[in-house]
Amino acid sequence: MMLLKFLSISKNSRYWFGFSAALIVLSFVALGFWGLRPGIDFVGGSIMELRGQNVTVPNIRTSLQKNNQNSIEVQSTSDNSVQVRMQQLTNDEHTKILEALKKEFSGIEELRFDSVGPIFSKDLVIKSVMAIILSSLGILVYLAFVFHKSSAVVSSWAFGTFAVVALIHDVIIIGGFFAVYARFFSASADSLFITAILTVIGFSVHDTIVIYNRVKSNLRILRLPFGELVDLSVLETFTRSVNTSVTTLLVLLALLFFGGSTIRPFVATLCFGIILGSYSSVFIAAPLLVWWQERNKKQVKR
Amino acid sequence: MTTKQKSLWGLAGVVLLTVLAILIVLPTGKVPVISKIFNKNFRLGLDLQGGTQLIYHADLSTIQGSNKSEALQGVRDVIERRVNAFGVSEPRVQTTGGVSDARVVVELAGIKNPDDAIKLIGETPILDFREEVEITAENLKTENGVLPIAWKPTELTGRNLTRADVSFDQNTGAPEISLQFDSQGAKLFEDITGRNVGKRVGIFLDGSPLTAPTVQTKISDGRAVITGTYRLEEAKQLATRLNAGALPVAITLINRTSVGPTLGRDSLGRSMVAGIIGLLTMVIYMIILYRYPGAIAAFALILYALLNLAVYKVMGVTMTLAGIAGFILSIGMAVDANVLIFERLKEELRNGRQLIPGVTGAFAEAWASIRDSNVSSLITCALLYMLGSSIVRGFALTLAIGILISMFSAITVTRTLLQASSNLKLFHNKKIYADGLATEGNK
Repeated sequence: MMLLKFLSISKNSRYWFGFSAALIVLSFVALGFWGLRPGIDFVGGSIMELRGQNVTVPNIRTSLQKNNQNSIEVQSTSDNSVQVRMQQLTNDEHTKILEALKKEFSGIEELRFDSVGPIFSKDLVIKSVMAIILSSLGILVYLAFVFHKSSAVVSSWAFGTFAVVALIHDVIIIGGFFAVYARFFSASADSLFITAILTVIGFSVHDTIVIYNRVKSNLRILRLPFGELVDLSVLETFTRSVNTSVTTLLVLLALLFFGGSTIRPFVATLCFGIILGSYSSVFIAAPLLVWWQERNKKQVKR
Repeated sequence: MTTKQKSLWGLAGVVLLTVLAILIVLPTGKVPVISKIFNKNFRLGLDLQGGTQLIYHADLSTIQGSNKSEALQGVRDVIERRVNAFGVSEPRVQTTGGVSDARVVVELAGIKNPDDAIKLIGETPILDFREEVEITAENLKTENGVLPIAWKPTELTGRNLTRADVSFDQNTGAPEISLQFDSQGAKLFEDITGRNVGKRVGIFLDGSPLTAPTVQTKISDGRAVITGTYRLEEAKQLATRLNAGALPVAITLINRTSVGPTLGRDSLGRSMVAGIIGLLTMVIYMIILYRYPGAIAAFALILYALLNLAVYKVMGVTMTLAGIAGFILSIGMAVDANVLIFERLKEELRNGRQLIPGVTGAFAEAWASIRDSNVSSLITCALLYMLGSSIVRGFALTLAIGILISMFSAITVTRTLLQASSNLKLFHNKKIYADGLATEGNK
């Protein structure tokens, strides 16, 4: 708590804004450099995961190239296996490749094989876009409902707009995080990535609403300079915010370190997103209100 | 009823629920009575037990209006029969989607050679008509010593069948199947029946005989009726199959997910470890942070986990990797509800309120926040469930079930236990509720 007072969120807002601006720039750089590789469920293709003796990235690459598979990407995973991403294989092609691999590497095991065709991926893209649009609409309606009564000091539009700004901030930085993550661990932006983002923004917007609601109710009962009032509101809700993130994070960390490897990128994104969501509610959404209000005051004085 | 009695009843309810949940979660067969009522096991997804999921797109655009769902059903039946021939335990074949996005989802648990199964399923169903052939030495010779053929294929196949319907005999009312051929088929059928009066004509589906009616007379109008001792259900099923054979709907494999047994076993073990560690971490965290109420919350949390597992078992929820992630995430959210309540309780006690009104007040105050937070998460879940792929659905479903149960366990169970114990003198020391409250509270 002392630490939080020391941080004095609204007074030092330029540091938080600076920090976030830096994160956003870095995210765009990461996204620009490495991009977000869509998963095979969105663009079609096949993924094969192999394990066995001598099953290494170069060995598998050479072996597959002998079988005329040239547009392949071979990566090692954290689980001692090799993952191959290639164009969609027909059943016969798959049988042929697997037989060739079995001949060359004794005791090779195909841990998993996913294959997605264009009809399926097109379908999923449409569904995902729908999910994103509907949940954005849902959040806007939810915000409008929560903040429909304006307060004397800050208009309800300001509350709603800054909550959305904090969300966009989250989505950009999660994108950047995932670009970096995917660069170093084999991962692609599949439908679970979209799910992680939607889950996280649900959490984050709620965190923001809790703080804003406290601001609104404090505005009714307290006579304090606006900056101090917002700081106090953050303080009062801080334990709750931190506790929610910490409990959720602890279980997710258990899943990250001990859970299955197939959904690790998903869990990692959730972990990062939950930290980010709490951060943005406290250090971005709240000081933005103060910044806006002070700017308005100056304009009135002039 | 006094409040004391009420809270005792509540306590009894919680104990009963705990016992029931444990009995349900225990492996089937261990507990005699419960096993009879809930004769189910946990259903593991293919990513946890290993297996192959195939999603086919059925192209219904060539089929006229009302026959579409029938045709899709026919495709499903054909696939099911082919899969059954493959000897997989409990194969699941389901149809989803509407007219434009008809899908057949095939789940083959533990299959070792999925490529062969795909090959078998991918064949378009073939309906054909065969003539009975007397087995003679000459026939035997031409077949090079292979088993003698009793049926000789004709040129008449499912391509010539316009449709098959269930009809009823005008005299007896017994169900029969009427066939309608196109013009070429009608001519072929006229020839075949002409050649075989008094003999049998076999109708074969995918090479195995469906039925072999005896030809009564030469038929030239392209209509045939298969009479026999059919029950209505059988007749309907046969007509569906014939239609499926007659109207070969092209199916395309659009998604395939195969998980080997090693990876499945590995994922299952790891998920269980992660779940247990996550739960234990929460238990320790709550006790350290909130002491006595924390211990109660920890108990509520364990009951919460048991209830979830019981619901999965009773409702037959398929547990997948992503589903377990949803469940584990919901544990964190269940704890959140208790955190909200206990923070309020601390505030109330700090403000000098007595314990019993303090507990009641804390629950009333925290409820609005808990409800808001959970409703928004439930909406997210509903969206994900409606629009997601099957992996995403698993996540959304367990998360939603978890949130609903947590509203009950984190609130009702914790409150019942706290209220019951706050009636006992033993638990009146405010020190066990949080740091540094004893002196303030006793003022």
